[in-house]
Amino acid sequence: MTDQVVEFLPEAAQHTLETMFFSVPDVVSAAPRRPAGDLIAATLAFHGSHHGQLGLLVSEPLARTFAANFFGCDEDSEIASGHVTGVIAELANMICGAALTRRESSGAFDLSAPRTFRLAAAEKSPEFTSGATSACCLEFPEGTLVLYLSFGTPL
Amino acid sequence: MAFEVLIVDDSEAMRKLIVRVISLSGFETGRCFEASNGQEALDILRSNWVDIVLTDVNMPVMNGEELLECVAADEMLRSIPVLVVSTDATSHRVDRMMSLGAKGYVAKPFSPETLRHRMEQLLGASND
Repeated sequence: MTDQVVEFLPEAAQHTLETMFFSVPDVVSAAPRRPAGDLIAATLAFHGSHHGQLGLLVSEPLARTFAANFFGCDEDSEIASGHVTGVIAELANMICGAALTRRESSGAFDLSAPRTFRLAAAEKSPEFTSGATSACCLEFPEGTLVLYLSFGTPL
Repeated sequence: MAFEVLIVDDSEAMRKLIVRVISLSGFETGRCFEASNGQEALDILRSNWVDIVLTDVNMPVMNGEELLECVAADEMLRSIPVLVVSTDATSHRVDRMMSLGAKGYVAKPFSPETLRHRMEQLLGASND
């Protein structure tokens, strides 16, 4: 299972970003590193054929770009903070669903509602960043998106 | 003819996106109702004319499966086409939702063209 998930997570992330956020990463790697600066974090649990959780960290400027692309706004336009976190929650939801569907198209799963929170540069990383089954790092000009997928008991 | 649409999703961001996709797709739309769960959707359906329902699956209070069951059990509502829009594209989920009465299924992430095409199919069929 682990080998397949290692493949499916970046595939699912890139497909989601290209299809609904019109964003293509410059670099994709399996070596996660915490993005610099202030971040938005999102996490959600899944249950069913397998259980676990997906977590993500995204640079704040990149999160704003994703939100602008998602809503079809000018990147310089003012997007409410709540709308940015709402878009990041939906990004986590779609990547998790796409990865699990690719992993086991005939399985069954339920996703919990994503939880988002802001993380200042000096704050310690959330627990989901350690011990992940699969992780990937997608780099864009505006910043970095890091994804962590864990199977087992949600943290 | 302007179509009345109901979008059911607990994500405000996704509802906002779907409204935008519909408005840009060329559909002549009248009102675009929004609900954040199945119960809110039923309340809207029982007091407003709606031509098509687009619903998520995983939602609090009343999920998409329960909404489909309630729509199918209601003589006044069962003819309204329901299109499921969900991150869960497993065959188990698709089969389950279609067996409960859904008329179509769109997996998230989706392109605007995919959503428009599915809606055209359902709205065209309901006009025949």
